[in-house]
Amino acid sequence: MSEDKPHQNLAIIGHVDHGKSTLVGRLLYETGSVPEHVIEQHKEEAEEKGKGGFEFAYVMDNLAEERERGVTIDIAHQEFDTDEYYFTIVDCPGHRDFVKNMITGASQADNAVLVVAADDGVAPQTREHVFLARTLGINELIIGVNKMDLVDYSEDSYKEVIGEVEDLLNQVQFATDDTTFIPISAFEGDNVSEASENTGWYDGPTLLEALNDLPEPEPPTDAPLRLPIQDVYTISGIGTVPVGRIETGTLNTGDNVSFQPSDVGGEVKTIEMHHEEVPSAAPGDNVGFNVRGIGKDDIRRGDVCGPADDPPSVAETFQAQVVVMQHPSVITAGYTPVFHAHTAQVACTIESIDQKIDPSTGEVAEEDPDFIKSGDAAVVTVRPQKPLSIEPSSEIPELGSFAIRDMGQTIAAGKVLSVDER
Amino acid sequence: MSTDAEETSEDRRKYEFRKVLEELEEYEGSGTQLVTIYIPEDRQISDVVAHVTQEHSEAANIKSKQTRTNVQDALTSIKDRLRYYDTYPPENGMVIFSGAIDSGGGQTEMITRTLESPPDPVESFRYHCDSDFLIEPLEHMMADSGLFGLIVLDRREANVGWLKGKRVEPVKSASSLVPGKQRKGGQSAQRFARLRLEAIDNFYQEVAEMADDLMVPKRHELDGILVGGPSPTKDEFLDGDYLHHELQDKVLGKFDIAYTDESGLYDLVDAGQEALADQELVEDKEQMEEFFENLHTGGEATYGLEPTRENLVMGSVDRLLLSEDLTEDVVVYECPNGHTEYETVERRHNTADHECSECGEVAEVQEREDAVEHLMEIADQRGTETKFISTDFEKGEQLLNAFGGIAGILRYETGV
Ligand SMILES: Nc1nc2c(ncn2[C@@H]2O[C@H](COP(=O)(O)OP(=O)(O)OP(=O)(O)O)[C@@H](O)[C@H]2O)c(=O)[nH]1
Ligand SMILES: [Mg+2]
Repeated sequence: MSEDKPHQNLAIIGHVDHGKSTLVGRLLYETGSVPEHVIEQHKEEAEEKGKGGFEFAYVMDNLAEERERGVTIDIAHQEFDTDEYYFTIVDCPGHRDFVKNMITGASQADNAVLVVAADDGVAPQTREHVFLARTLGINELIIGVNKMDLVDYSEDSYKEVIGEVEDLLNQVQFATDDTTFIPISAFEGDNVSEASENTGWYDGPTLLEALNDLPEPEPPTDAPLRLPIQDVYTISGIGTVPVGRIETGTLNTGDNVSFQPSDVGGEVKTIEMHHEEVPSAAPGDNVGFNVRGIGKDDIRRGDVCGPADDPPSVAETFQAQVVVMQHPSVITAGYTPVFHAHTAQVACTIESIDQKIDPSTGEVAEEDPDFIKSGDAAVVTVRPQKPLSIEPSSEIPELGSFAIRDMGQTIAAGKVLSVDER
Repeated sequence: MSTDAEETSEDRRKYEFRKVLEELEEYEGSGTQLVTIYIPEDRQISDVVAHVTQEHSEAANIKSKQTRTNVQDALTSIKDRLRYYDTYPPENGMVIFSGAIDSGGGQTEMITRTLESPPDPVESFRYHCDSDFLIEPLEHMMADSGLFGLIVLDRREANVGWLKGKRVEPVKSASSLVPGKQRKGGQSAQRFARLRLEAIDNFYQEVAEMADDLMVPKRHELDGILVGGPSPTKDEFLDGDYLHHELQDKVLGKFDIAYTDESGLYDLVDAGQEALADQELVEDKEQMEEFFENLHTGGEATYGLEPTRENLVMGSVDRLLLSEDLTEDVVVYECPNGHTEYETVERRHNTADHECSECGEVAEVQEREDAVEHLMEIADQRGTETKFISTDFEKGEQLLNAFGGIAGILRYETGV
């Protein structure tokens, strides 16, 4: 039974069209979660739409606009289990316009599979996703070098891609020693659940084995309940159902909870997990729940749910340490990009740049610098333009980090040092 | 490059106009004694003189002696000014202000200001005598031109607003009831898809209504509409003819942007720069972007009073960038050992004491002058173009707040 196994939240990330959705579809098909006739149906539909080859991706891409364009737009969850774990897979979009949705998905994950197409190698969103994965607290990456069929299962091509990915991981300081690389073809099914004869030169694990071998998620901090809301549904018979992943603490029926910054609350009536009602849920669990008196318009993506007597903090301003990853020009006081923290996205103004930090020593290099640029680390004071719930990283690390985006790219990341509450 | 030169002088004239207007705005007369005359370019000067003479004799009926004297003095002063002109006023006409203003402590002071060739033609002759000067028509001309409607949307939310001159103004937002990807509770796939399409259609209608409410009343002033969003939504919205047809005709383009909250409106203006190419905003933005990029890549940028001044004197500045809202004076100090130093001080503040940073001696104030005048004068001598940058957009605000309102794009690195 699923309850006996530890829970893993797994994000599938990577550049657009590299085969993420196809891989998830293939995995679900080979593990028996999706029956053959469904794939056949998808195949017909895909061919009708002139999107032949997308039959496995259609398992995850269920919106009409996704199927027509052959692009994943929003994240989708699927559950399945291995011998070791109960997995919730989040299939993330790779298109640059939807990185904001990828962040929501990846912010809920413990580990991730990075899909890199062998015929394309490291591409812009491969880079951006890896940087974000690191920022959002993803522990381990499994790298699927996909579309091996398109490069004739050549070991040289595989090694070339591995080299590019390793460079990238080093750049963002992701430990590479225990990273698993697997040559796969999501479309043909090589090395997904069974070792492939086409890659005789490879003797590592299949993707399924690698998933099974993942380390158990780290236990969360001993903090009060924090549950960032990923979406809000209306379900007939139940009413408003916010869904999200519990980052810290526990959620029990009968608890009195508060949603911030929407500033509403009530008593938890029911909690649902894996399509079953449960009396309580713990960190790492993806839950949908229902709170007495809360309507669909009262809360939204980006709210955080916590105990009514220890509600999530809402920042008037906060101080943070940031590292600028890439920026075409300079960042000064007054700059107002979009901040992504847990499931929230809010435009925030960098009100002051307080200190420039030497990234190698961590020491203060300059007080009140006029500007900072790529490669710089700094302590800054930030004012959200709309209410934002966020916590000091020293108290609740799960709710204390963020990524900064502007001009269609991720430009910086950081963690919260202190919060000046409203 | 005659067009560049013209632009510069235009920029500069606007600055001077703005300064005079700011000054005039402050003045008040103790009675109805401040006279303003707007003269269109096709009005004969002799006509105007006749009108002023007429007013002068009518002013004899004013009961208060003080007001009567003040008004007549003002009119005499205006007549004196008019003598400098031949048959017609200069191009676009002119405006004359004259009157006795309160100069504090019950004192009055007679002032007269003439503004020639405003940016737009003076439309009609106006004679105005009141307790303050009539500056609204000129202010109106000085306001940045251009009014664009902005719409950003995806399936979750939408925002509409304006680009007025150089300022983005978010106005209204809506969030949708379109269900997300997760299908729940035993719904058939077809039913789910149908409900979703209905919800999307409803949301597009709501967004269109929001845009119509805002923009239809202004459709005749509107220079265009920009629509933005992540890939498919804006196409569906536009292809579906949801907008009022007169607005639909004004759509200049659709642009890929990721965010659809208020910040999306700013992104839309960035993404739409090409469609907005002739707007002043774009020119200001490009200047600031070049400056920011030069700061990033290294030495071809300078900012702050002293470094910029030094570069100007060296002749290394290609373009001097001054914030339109820079309201500081430059104070020139000289110490007994002959070191000259410069500092800025708010226009209304007193000059502070200054110690020479090289020898620690008390330095004497040599001169105090408006910072803009001071820098522009050096720029003119060196053939450097001066650009005034609005604070109505983010990077323009950053110029004022993070760089003190003074910066320069250099021709080459100087290490200053
Ligand atoms: N030949 C080959 N094609 C593949 C493979 N995996 C995926 N594809 C094809 O690549 C295209 C994109 O696949 P998707 O699974 O939609 O890619 P994605 O990474 O999910 O794309 P986004 O979600 O839009 O970022 C489809 O045409 C797939 O059939 C593979 O292993 N081999
Ligand atoms: Mg996909």
